[in-house]
Amino acid sequence: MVPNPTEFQILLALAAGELHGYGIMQEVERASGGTARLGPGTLYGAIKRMLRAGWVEQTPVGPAGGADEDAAAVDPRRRCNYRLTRAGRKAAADAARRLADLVSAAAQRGLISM
Amino acid sequence: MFGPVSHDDVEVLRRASRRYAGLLRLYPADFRRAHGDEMLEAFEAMAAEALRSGPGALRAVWGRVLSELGPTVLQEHWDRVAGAPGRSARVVFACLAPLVPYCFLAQFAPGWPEAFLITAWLVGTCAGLVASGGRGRPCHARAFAGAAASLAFAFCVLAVLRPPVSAGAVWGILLLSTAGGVLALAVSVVVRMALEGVGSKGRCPQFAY
Repeated sequence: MVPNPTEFQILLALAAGELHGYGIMQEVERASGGTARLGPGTLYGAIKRMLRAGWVEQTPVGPAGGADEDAAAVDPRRRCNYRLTRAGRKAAADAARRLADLVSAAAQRGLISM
Repeated sequence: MFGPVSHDDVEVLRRASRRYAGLLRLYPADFRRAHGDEMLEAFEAMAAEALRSGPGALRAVWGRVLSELGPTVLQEHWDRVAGAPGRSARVVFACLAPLVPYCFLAQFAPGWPEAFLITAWLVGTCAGLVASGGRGRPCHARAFAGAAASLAFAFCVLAVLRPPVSAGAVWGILLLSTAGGVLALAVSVVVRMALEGVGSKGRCPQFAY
């Protein structure tokens, strides 16, 4: 199974560490320079599929400290963060390698300079 | 919540949150149960940040949310049906149930008055929806509301086609019956949403549409 572009962006966002939903949305937007913006429906649809594929797992919100801890204390609905599993990290690495090969091929054909 | 700056902002955020919570009802029940709270929380965080950025930013948030709503709702409903063969079979059964008695009577009792055909349609739809739904009053209310919608549809069809329908028109009947069944299911979804909206505890676990 290969991650689609949205799932790949989420995998990338989670590669640096666990995040809650809104944190993933912010990280995807930041990493793409503002070109990719996920809404809640797109994000959680992808998360549902990725949970099913075993690429991510939920973790209960822990004492992360700072504003995050405050927000969790004020809003009892927040239930979990998400983090990559080993299978998710491998899927992300495989997808990244495929993309790197394509970029390399594009550079060899003079489409881009590296 | 993520720290709106003024009392007005809090009110705007509360209204936006209520509206988005209403839109979340369009998603399948199990998806909502698994991720609805988190989606609402993410929306509130987006809205709170937008309010801090300026008045136009909240419109942009709504634009983003509404533009993804249709495709993602359809995707989740499709995943739900496609991912559960038993449920898919029940959907097909509910859609086609009106066909059986209607076809039977149209074929073997062509001289019967329209009332019988309409009754057959009603009974077929009711049976299909009750059989495909769960137990309890909300589920039955859904089934009857769906059947009533299907009946109204049948009236419209009969007003145009004038039965008895010839044996050669079976495909037409199939199509119309399916449309009636789909309509019945759609109405049953609306009734379920209305029942949940007024705080009903009833759920239809076997068939949460």
